[in-house]
Amino acid sequence: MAVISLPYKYLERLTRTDRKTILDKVALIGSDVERTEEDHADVEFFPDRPDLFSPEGVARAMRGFLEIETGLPSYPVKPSGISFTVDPKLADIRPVLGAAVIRGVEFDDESIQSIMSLQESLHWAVGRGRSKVAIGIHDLDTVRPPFHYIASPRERRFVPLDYSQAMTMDEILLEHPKGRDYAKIVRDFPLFPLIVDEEDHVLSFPPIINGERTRVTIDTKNILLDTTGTDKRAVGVAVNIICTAMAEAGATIESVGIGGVQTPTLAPVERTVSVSECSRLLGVELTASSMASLLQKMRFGAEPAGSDRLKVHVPCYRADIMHDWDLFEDVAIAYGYDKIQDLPPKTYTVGKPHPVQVHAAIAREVFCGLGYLEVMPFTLTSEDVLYTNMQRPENPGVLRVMHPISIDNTVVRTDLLPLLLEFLTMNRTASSRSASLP
Amino acid sequence: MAELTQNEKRLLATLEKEKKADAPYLAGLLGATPEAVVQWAHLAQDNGFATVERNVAKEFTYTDEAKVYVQKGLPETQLLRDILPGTTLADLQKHQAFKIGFGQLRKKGLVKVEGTSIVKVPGASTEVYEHALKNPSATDPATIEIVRRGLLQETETVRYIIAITPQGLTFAQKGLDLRGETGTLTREQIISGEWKDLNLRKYDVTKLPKKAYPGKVHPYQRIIAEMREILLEMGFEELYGGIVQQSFWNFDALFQPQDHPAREMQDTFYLRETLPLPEGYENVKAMHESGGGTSSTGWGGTWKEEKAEQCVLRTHTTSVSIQHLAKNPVPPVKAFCIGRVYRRETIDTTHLAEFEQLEGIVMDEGVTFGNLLGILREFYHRMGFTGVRFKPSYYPYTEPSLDAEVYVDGIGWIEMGGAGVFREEVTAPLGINYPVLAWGLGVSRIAMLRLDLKDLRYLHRSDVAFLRETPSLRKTKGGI
Repeated sequence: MAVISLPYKYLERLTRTDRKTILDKVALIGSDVERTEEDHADVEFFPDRPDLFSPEGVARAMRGFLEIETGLPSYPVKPSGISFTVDPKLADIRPVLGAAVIRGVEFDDESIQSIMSLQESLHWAVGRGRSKVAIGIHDLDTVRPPFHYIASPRERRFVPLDYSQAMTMDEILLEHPKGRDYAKIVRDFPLFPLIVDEEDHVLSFPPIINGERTRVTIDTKNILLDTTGTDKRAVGVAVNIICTAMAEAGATIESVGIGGVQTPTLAPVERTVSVSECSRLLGVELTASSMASLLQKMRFGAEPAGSDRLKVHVPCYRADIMHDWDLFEDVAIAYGYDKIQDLPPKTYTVGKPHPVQVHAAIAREVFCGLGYLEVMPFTLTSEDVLYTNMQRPENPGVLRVMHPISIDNTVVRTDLLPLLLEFLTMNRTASSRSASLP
Repeated sequence: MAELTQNEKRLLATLEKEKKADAPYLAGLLGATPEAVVQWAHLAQDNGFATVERNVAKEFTYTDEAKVYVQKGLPETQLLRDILPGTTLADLQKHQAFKIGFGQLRKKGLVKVEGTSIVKVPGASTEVYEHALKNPSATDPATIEIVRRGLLQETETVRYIIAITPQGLTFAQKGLDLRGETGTLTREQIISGEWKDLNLRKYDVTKLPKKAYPGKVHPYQRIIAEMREILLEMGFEELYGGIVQQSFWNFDALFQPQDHPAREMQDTFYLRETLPLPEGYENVKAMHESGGGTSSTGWGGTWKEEKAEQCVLRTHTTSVSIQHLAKNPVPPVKAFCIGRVYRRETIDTTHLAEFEQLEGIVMDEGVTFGNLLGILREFYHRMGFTGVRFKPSYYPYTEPSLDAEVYVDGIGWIEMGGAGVFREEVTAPLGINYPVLAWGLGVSRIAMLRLDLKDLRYLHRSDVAFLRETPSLRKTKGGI
């Protein structure tokens, strides 16, 4: 789960309302308020909504939910004229590149912190620990386009972030803290991914570490975003989420050319959905126009297209909208779970116990009648308990877990008696008869 | 007034004449042991009819060593006598009482060393110890020290003096019924009417008998049984399935992407065993890769058969429900399962690697998300929770998803379980053509609150006292 820190002042400025109104309602869009501090609140969001992993994203959603600003947010993109080349040798290493130019950034302590933690949360939720997606953010004014994403010899030297001397990429994997953490992603490749500028200055060694040269500071005005990975869709999502968050903070976004294609477009995806299907799923009476305004509250573009059809524009940062029902969930959230009529289904059915449980209940009754106490031991145990202590041969069919947590939990029990004896060992001082049921 | 036993009455009758006597003497008169007499006297004392005085006398016996000292004086006395002006340490070392005596003199501060000479301090005397040796007294510090030195042995003798009180005397003078008591009536005594003349032993119904511990169902099992009954009453069919499941049914059929973090070795117990994929698995593959002809995009990428074949210890009972639905696609299906599930968690007071999960599913034509909320409210109400509310949540295989919270007095709103409608990506490849409402909760969470446990492990590594003493019937207050 991602816990996002929301500084009140920044959040209030972006949302255009007071903190109390926001915090009272933020759980209703799908979150848990973990704690509220003097100057910020820590709120946990679900992993399917990485677009909410920043104060900018939360403010955007809350403006809609609180009906301060509804409908599709628009993010104009103009070409930057900057381009990247991509080395074909990367095809089996880390083939996918996404990039963007973000201009007119005005950082303060809060917004720089927010973009850094958004980057980390995306690495975790979308990037699967940087293996699927890794993000680099650079001060554009320290380097010269065009840029080149290449497969580099491992002996290439540069000064990594937080260091003052040049190191080879192999040394970085051994010595740099980030190198050690993420070495396993690239270690086995003969060549390593590297991003350089026209003058061969190193911007980044993805997915490990940026170069010190392009470090982003509070004075940075223009940003170059690089996003590399193994999955085209995931890389695109990460680019869209960062760019739209920065745009919410006041920056302008420009596209770059990668292999002749201008990216990102930050354009919405269109989906046409059925109003009656949504009504049937939720158990809520909807019309095309009521459903459209509910979706607008969730920041979708929505307009009726016939009596039962709705044309929906899904903002580019909503990676979780895979299916029409994902939109229907947003309709339900906008409608309010507490307002949905909760009636059990009407169909008549008869309860029926399972024979195994019926027999277990009879055995339990008989043993209790005989004066036995029931115990419920763990089912994960060890060879020692099952066999060694019992002086019994090992059951050849015993199931072994492949990566046990401890030496006490290596196998699934094959017998019950050893577990009763273990229970007896724990209760040597008490005098009792006891029995166990599976 | 408490009822007197036959023996108390006999004791009082004797004391009426004797007034005050020691226990052995009274025992002789009553034909009982002194211990028994003391016990009866204590009962009489509780009723205010007698007093029991306990006298402890200390006696001292001499060891063989001490007997010699009585004659010759303690070693320090002997040594002190022979210290003259000019006596050196070397002289004294030859003295037969040196070994014990010198240490005692130094300890008591009666001599000091000046160069090579040993000098008595002014007024040095061992008289108090000599006196104590010959006339020991339990309260005398010198005696206590001699006892500590092991020269005297202290023995205690206890004497009980029993006396009748004025109330006792008045009570006894009113006349005591000294007839024998009858504890058990026979059939003959009842038929003949003889029982009317018998002196029946009184029975104290307020007195607690010795505790008896019956055979008992485990307190945790009792909570499971309660939930099971509620679900059977609500018209659900019970499911049962194995703890070993193929990844296909545990993850893939539930549209869990193959690179999902929950599928990693750190979170799931994998087994070496594999099973062949079921017929029609290609539909699931197509759904993952491209959305299988629904409005879904799928996850993209390549779905790998070998990943789906590998067996795991089930991480949820949903692996059982989904197979039941795949085999029974004709509505209505209302089913539940309470079973053990496994997560590769480090075990601590609130996390176990294995725990019970409850899961319910409803598949029917026209069931809605609103119906799901209705089922949940009904279930939690029957569990005793009056306050129930719902909020948006996320589960990979349901859409819309929710979390149910219940209100617990003294704690507030707590999360009790998750629910949702199975995604079409889950149902469509298995030929399930109606909505499936699904919900689950961790049973041990309720158990921990109800049984007031600090440590979840206790459910499985219980001690006998806990099993015996936990009440079978709880007083419920807001479900807990």
